[in-house]
This record gives sequence, structure tokens and C-alpha cells, in this order.
Amino acid sequence: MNSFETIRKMTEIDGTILPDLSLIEKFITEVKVSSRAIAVYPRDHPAVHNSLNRVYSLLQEIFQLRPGITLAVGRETFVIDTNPLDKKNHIFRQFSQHLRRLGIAYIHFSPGITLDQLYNFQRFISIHRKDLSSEGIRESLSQYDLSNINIGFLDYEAFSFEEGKTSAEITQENLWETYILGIINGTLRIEEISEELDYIPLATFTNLLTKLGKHRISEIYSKNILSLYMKKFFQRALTNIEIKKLLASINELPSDLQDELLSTVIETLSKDILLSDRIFQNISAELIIELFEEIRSRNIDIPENLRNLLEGVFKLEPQAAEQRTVDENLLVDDIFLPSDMADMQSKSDMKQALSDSFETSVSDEYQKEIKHILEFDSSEILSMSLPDLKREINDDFIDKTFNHVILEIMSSELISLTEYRQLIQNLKEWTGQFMLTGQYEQILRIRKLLQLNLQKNKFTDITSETLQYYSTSEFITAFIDSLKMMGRQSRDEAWQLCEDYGGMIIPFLIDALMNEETQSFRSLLMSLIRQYGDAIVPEALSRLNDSRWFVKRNMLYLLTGCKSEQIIPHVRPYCGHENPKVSLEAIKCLLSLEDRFGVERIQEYLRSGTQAEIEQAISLLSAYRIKDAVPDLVQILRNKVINKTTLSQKIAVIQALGNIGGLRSLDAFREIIFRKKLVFFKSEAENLKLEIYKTLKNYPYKDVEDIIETGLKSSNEYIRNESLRLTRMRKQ
Amino acid sequence: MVLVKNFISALVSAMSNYSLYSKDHPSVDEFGRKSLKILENLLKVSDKIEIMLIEDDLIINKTSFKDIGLQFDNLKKRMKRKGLSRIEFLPNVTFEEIRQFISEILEIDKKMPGFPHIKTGVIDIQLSEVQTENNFDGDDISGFLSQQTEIVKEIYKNVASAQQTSVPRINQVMGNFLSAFRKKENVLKLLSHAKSREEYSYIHATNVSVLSMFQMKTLGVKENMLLRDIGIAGLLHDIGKLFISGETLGKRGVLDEKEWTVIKLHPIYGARFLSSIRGLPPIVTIVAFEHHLKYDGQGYPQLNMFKNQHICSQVVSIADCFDALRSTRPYRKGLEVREILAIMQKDKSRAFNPFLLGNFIRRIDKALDLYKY
Repeated sequence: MNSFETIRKMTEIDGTILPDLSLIEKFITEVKVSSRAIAVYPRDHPAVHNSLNRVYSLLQEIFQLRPGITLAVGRETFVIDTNPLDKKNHIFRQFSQHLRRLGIAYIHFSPGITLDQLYNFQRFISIHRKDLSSEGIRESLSQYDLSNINIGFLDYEAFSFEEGKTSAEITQENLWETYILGIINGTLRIEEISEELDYIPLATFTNLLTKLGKHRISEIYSKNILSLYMKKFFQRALTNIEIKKLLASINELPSDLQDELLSTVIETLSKDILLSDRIFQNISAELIIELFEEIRSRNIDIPENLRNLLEGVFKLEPQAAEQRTVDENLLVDDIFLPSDMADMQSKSDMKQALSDSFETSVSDEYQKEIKHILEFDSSEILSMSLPDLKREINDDFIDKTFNHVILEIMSSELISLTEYRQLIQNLKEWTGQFMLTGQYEQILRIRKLLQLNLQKNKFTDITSETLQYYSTSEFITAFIDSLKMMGRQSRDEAWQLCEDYGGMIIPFLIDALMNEETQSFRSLLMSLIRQYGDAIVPEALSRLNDSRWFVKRNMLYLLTGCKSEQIIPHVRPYCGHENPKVSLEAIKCLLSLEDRFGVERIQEYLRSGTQAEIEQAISLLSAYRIKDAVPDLVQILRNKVINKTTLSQKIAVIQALGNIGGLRSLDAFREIIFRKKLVFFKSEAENLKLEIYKTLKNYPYKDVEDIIETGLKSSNEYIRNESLRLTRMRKQ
Repeated sequence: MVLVKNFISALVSAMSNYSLYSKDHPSVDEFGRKSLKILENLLKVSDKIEIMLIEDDLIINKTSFKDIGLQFDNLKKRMKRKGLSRIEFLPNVTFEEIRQFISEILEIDKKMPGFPHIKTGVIDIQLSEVQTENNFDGDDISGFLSQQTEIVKEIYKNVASAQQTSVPRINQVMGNFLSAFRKKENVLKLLSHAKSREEYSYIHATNVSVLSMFQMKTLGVKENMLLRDIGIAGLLHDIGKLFISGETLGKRGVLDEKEWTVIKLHPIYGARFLSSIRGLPPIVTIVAFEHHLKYDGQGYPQLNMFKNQHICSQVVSIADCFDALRSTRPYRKGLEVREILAIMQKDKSRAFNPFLLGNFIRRIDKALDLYKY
């Protein structure tokens, strides 16, 4: 193919590919702009009318240059034919992302399109829809008349499934682009003409460029042609003459094309640095300087690799200038060097740094230190040798730290209301995550930050509104729901958050307790509620008259931890409740407050209760160390043994007496210890003695000396040892 | 739609609790069972639940779930870490399978086993050949670096002009560097030299990124996603400077207190900006905020609520200092590598985590010896 044919071919391409780039760009921008008007105003509003007309006119202009236009939706922009539009353009980016969200792969506009169709199209893409499923969107599309607009949806079937593989085995880059390009037919293959470019002389090529420039060839397309040509050009065995011709030809071009060509020269040279090296070796330094001065004069950036190559030509020496300091400390970039480090650094002036070796510029002390470090065997470095690393690179730990940083940002003075509002929104989202994972400490930190900001009057309205959000019944209920699953393992964090809420959360916790069926969660709730102390009294008392016995029992249990005597008159009536679990709980509550009424009730149990009641009474007297009940307990101890049950009851009594520690019990103890004969249940009687010796540590030595001395002679090993231990302790 | 959201939420909560606590934490099973229950309902109306991750888009049963919430982001993150881009749940899936799946997806370095009713793998597209930009061929380091710097420049300029950033573009640079790492072991060869003041920011960002990834690798981190994340963190650590006037940033000589105070704000500006970009890993925001904090709790910015510097910030902080001292600036020639190491060593335990610094020094020294840099 000769050069004329090549030119013809290129001109043909020029007529069908992208002569209309700027038109297309305007069209897309206008579609986006008009979608806003259409979203806000009715169809007959002038803003809608004008906007649609502009879109329509642009489209008609495009149709004069091509039979139809397909906008393929790329990752960050639109792709026209195979050419992606400017990725930096925000409108393209936002618009393409919006379409992608709707699952749209491409939109084809064909002649015959009407204003109504354009309006319908805009409505279709801009209405707010809840159903974003592909079926939902396709169904929605069928409701619009879009005869001359063909919308193609993403076909996820095109993505094949490579089962059992990972991304390490298959590249995952550019999947979208590959896909989008794959669905567009008629793609331009620039490589096909590249061989023909070899034969075009430089002058002919620059003439062609000038002509194409007049036809407003698309920037991207002309760039492709230029790149291909320059690549071929530099691959030739270039001499000084060719470079001179290049410089001369450049001067013949219009100014904008000169810039474009020189940029392409730079780009081509920097892409193949080995080739550039060869070229620079073959041509004179003066010509290289001339070429690059031309480039520099046009403020075209020279990439770093080319700069390195040209270092011999261009000297980019550091200029002498003042060091940067703060309070006489040195700043390197934005890094603050303390004076001792700065001393070391400042020793190294430019020449010294270039010529001095490590040994001459660093003191002996540091040389030794460095060498010491270097002697360490690097093979010993294992990932596990830094446990913090493994912990800290865990995604969930990172999320937690991220939350901390956000809170720090929110506490800074640099933040605008809009940003603050956005971060608040994010925090709420994170809070949901923290709830699901039991990270109550993080929620507490968020609340603390909000409280702090409120104190500082920072964005008072939104801060206080958000604090309220964290105290709404919905939020608290969600927190308590989360406690059910996560609370047991995060008990301390849960309490800290509860404590921060203070009294306001008590009714919620108590309500949850009243209705909870799981024993383990009830016990968690009760332990949390009891930590509030007397603050729970009003809420617990108000629920005492609940008809359900277990609610009464639970409330009495909660009140047992309170110190306020005002609860006594409310609790006393429940000591006689028909359900023993309730009455016993009421007695416990009164015993905890040392109320006489409770003691009397328990004494009644001891005297006339059932076997089970007596046992519970003994246990309570022991737990609350009720001294007034000692005579009753002693009486039980002295009662005649009837059976094994009464004997085991006596063991419980001994334990209780020992726990209470009253001297009045010792005579009864002696009766057992010094009794010569036990007619019945000999082994069980020995157990009573054993139990007595276990309690002796609770008494002053002098009061039990005779019992201990007897124990020293006992045949029972435990009694002997315990007696010996108590004797030694006394001597010490 | 709601069921799908609930399913993902339960599944991800089970994963998070497994990772935060242990596999035996009751919530893991509880959320696992919850997810199974929802899944069974979903599978009554669909023959499978197919989750696809196409670049950063999560597609569930052919519907795109974009910007939908943290739980979805979390699932994407875990899929990426595991190198998966497709998961299919089939009818008759059992609780044991769900349990096992949760456990396996969290094991980063282990290959995913097969399950009878849960299929995992990647997606691919069998179309025409794709031209991948800026891949490193192993020889033309200089050309490769130049191309990466150009992309970094574009990323920075985009932030400066429009306060926006392109996450795919950032991922592209990181992908290129990771690929270069595989081919070139000597990290020092992958560091560029800035030739002009204008270029310094981009070159420095790129170098800090490379040095940070290098450190993580030497500490035993094998997972590409994590290396990529730390690389992005290194690349964007100083992005906050774009929000400070060039006059203050470029000032030579003595900085007054006001000017220094302004410069010290850049970590907050950076973190503030980065936290608003959806799709960036959270560690990027953390590092931008903390990279000038010191190991001993000093440094800047002044913290109001927390004290500890994250280990990734410690890594980037070492890289940052090393490259700043190494780079030639208009007022100062870069120092020799061993000299820099000595200066940094002097500040160990004060500015830097001594373990990390020790590792860095040893590894850099090895590179010097082996490759005669």
C-alpha cells in the first residue's frame, strides 16, 4: 500500500471513528445535566423543555457524522468505540457509575429518536427505585417507550466461573474493560495500520497531521496515530539528519500539534529507555540539547527515567538554599529531627555525602551499634516473632483503630459541618457492626466523643441529636438484644456502656429481665442491673406487684443488693408469700438489711418449717451471719438424732455456727467432741466432729484450746493435722 | 433484597466474631445458624445464591449491591483477602458446611477446600486479549518507575483539583508494584530519585509505598491484598499536604510557630479526606493520620482520645523517614543509605518501633550487600 492509500484509509477511519468526540462529550454532559432538571420539574416545565432540546440537538449533530451512537459504560467513564473518555471528568465518572449500578452495559441512540423518548429515557434512569434487581430494572424499562434507544444490560453469564481457583492464579485486572470492549462490535484495530506507517516519510506525515487537525480529529485518536508513527520513527536507524528533519517538521506544524507531537516524542522515548539510550548514543549532544530545550520551552514534563538518561546533558544539581528549621531543630521534609539526630545529619554536606563512606561520616559509637544489629541473623525474623503484627493486621482490629481515628478527626477543629454530618452517618453504620460483634467499648467511645463535643459546643444541634439517637428506645433495645448473644463474653465492656447510660437504661434492662426466658441471659441482666446499686430501687419496687411470681422473685433478688432501708416496708409483705421462692427471696432481702422482721421469719422456719425450709433457713443464717439465731441453731444441734437426715442437717448447722462464729455455740460443740459413746450412726457422728474442727479457725485460740488439745490425740488424721496447724499458728 | 442483606449480615457477623474472639464463641454458631436459616429461605425461590465480586462490585444473583453498607464491604474485603471472586451456595447446604466455610475464608494463607454445597473460585472473562498497562517486564526499571510516577502524579493532581481520587487507579499502581516485587527482589532498585521539587511529592509517595510493602513482606506478610493495602497507605500518607498552601509547604529557612502548626495539620486533613472515599481500605486513613506519631507517643497530631500508633503506621513512618533523608532536595543532597540507617538507629525507641527498625536496617543492609546498590 502506498502512502496515498494509507492517507485515504486514515481519512476513511477519520470519517467513521471519532471526529465527533467533543460533540459526544457535550451530549453526555447534557444528558446528565438534563436528568437533574427532569428529576425536579414536570414535563412541561421550561427547564425540562430547554434541556431536552439541547440534548436532542446535540444528538442530531452526532447523527450527521455517524449513523448511531453507542455509549458503553466503562469502569469510571464511557467508552466510545474503543476509546475511553476522560477518566478525570467527574460527570462521566458519576454518570457511568450510576448506569452501572442499574446494570446497564451500553446505550445505543439511533436516528428517529423523539423528545418524548429522550424524556422517557431520562425518567427511566433517574427515578428512585427500591428494586435494583436486574429483573426489576428490566421490567421497569418495559414501561417506557424507547423505540430508538436500545439499552443493553450487563450479562453476568459472560463471567465464567473458575471453581477452586484464587485470584493469585488468574489475573483479575481490567475485567470490566475487557467485558465492555467485548460487547461492543466493530472495534478499531489501530495495529492493523501500524505497519503501513513505516513507509510514510516524516514530511508527509506532518502534512497529514495538519490536515487531520483541520478536521478536528479526536485527541485520543490522533494521539494513537502519533504514538504509532513516532514509535516506528525512532525504531529506524536514526542519524543527525533525521533528528534535524524532525525538528524542522515540528516547526512547520501548527502550535497545538507541535505540543502534541513533542509530548508524543517524550512519551515514546520514555517508554523504551533502552532504545532512547541507543538513539542518544548515535546522535550529537547538541541536537539532543536542541530537541529537549524545545520540549522544556513548552513546559512539557520530562519523565524521570528520561531525566536520568539525560543527566549528563542536563545538570539537575541541588541549589544552595537554607535548611528548613523550627526552633533551631531541623525539618527534613515534614519530619522533625531532634537536635542530636540533626547534628549527625548536618555533618553531611553535599560533597561529604557524595564522597564519604559510612565509616567516615558516622561516629565509632554508631558504627558499633549498627554493626551489632547487622550481626543478627536475619533468618531468625519470622512473622510470629512479632505477635503484635498478626493481631494488628487483623481486619477487625484495623476497623477498630479506624473508628478511633474517625473519632479523633471528629474531635479536631478542622472539620466542617458537612463532613461532621457524614462522619456521624458513618459512625452510626459502624455502631451496627459493633453491636453485632459485642464491641461495646467502641460504642462507649463514640458516646464519649459526642459528649465531649457537646461540652465544647461543637455542632451542637447534630451532636445532641446523635446523642439522643444513642439513647432512643430502639437503640437501647437493639443493644439489649445484642447483649443476649454477645454480652456474656463482653461483660466488662457491656457494664461500662451501661454505666455510661446511667439510670435511664435501668427500666429497659429490667423489662428485658422480666420477659427473658433464658437462664444465662437472665443472670447476665441481673448482674448488670445489680451493679447500679440503689438506683434501681424505684423501678424494682414498681414491678413488685407484677402478677407473675418469678418477676416478684427477680425484683426481690435485685433489691437484695440495695442498701436503702426505704425498701423494707415494701418487702416485708412478701415474706409470707404463698410461693416459697418469693418468700425466701424476700427474707434474704430483709436479712441483707439486717431487718429484725426477716430474722424472726427465718426463726419461724427453723422452728416449724418443713425439712426443706429448715435447710434453706440454716443456709441463709450462715450466709448473713445472723447472731440472733445462734440459740435456735444450737437447739437443733442438741436435738436427738433420729435419722441420717437429721445428722446431715446438724453438719449444716455446725457450718453455719462456725461461719457466724458465736461463742455460744462452743458448749454444744464440746458436747459432741467429748461425748464418749454414740449409739447410732457412728461414722456420721465422726463427720460432725470433723466439721467442728474445720470451723475452729474462726474462733479465738484460747476459747477452743481444750478442743484443739483433744484433737491432737485424735485417731482421725484430718482432725490431728488441723489441731496441729492451729497450735503452730498460735505459737507463731 | 432484604433477605439477601440479612443473609450477608449474619454471615459476616459470624466471620467477625470468629476472628475477634474464637471459633468456639457462641455467637459464631448463632450467626452461622441464622445465616443458614435465611439461606434456606432464599434457596426456596432460587436454585443457588451466587455472589460475584467483579473488581469492586458485589453482584448477588445478578443484582449489583453497591455502597450498601459495612457488612457488604466486609464480605468484599474477606473475599479479596482470600483471593475469591465467586461463591455459590447451593440447596441442601448444611450448618457444618457454613461453619467450615466461615473458618476457611478467614485462613488467609490456606487454599480454600471444596464443599459439597458451597462452591468457591474466581471469575474470568474469555474475550479478546486485554492490554495491561504499566506491567513490569523485569528489565526496564526506569521506564516502569516513570510510568508509575505518572499515575501517582495523576492521582495527586486529581485530589488537588477536584478533591477526588480514583480507587481503581490506585489499585492499578499497587498491582504493578506487587508484580514488580515478584520479579525484582532488591527493593532499592525500585526506588526513584526526584529530579525536581515538583516531582518530589509523587516520587516520595511512590518510594514510601514500595518501602512499606517491602517491610511488610520481610515481616512475613504474604497476602497480596494486605501488601496492597499497606502500599496504598504509603502512597497516600501525605495526601493531606494537598490541603495546605504551597507557600507554607515550600517555605525554606526558619518556620514560625504558626507555619509549623499548619504543616502539622496535614495528617488530619489527609485522614479526613481519605475517610470519605468509599472503597479505600481503612488502614489508609489510619496511616495518613498516624504517620507522624512516634513510637513513644510523641509526634503529631496531638491526640485527644487515643495514644497508640498502629503497627502499619510505624512501618510507613520508617519508610517515610528513610526516603526523606535519602532524597535530594533543593536545599540538601540525599544521604547515603548506611548513614541514614545510622541516623534512624539513633532515634530508635523514641521515634520508631525498635523491632521494625531493626528488621528494616538488616533487610536494607542485605540489599546493599547483595546487589551492590
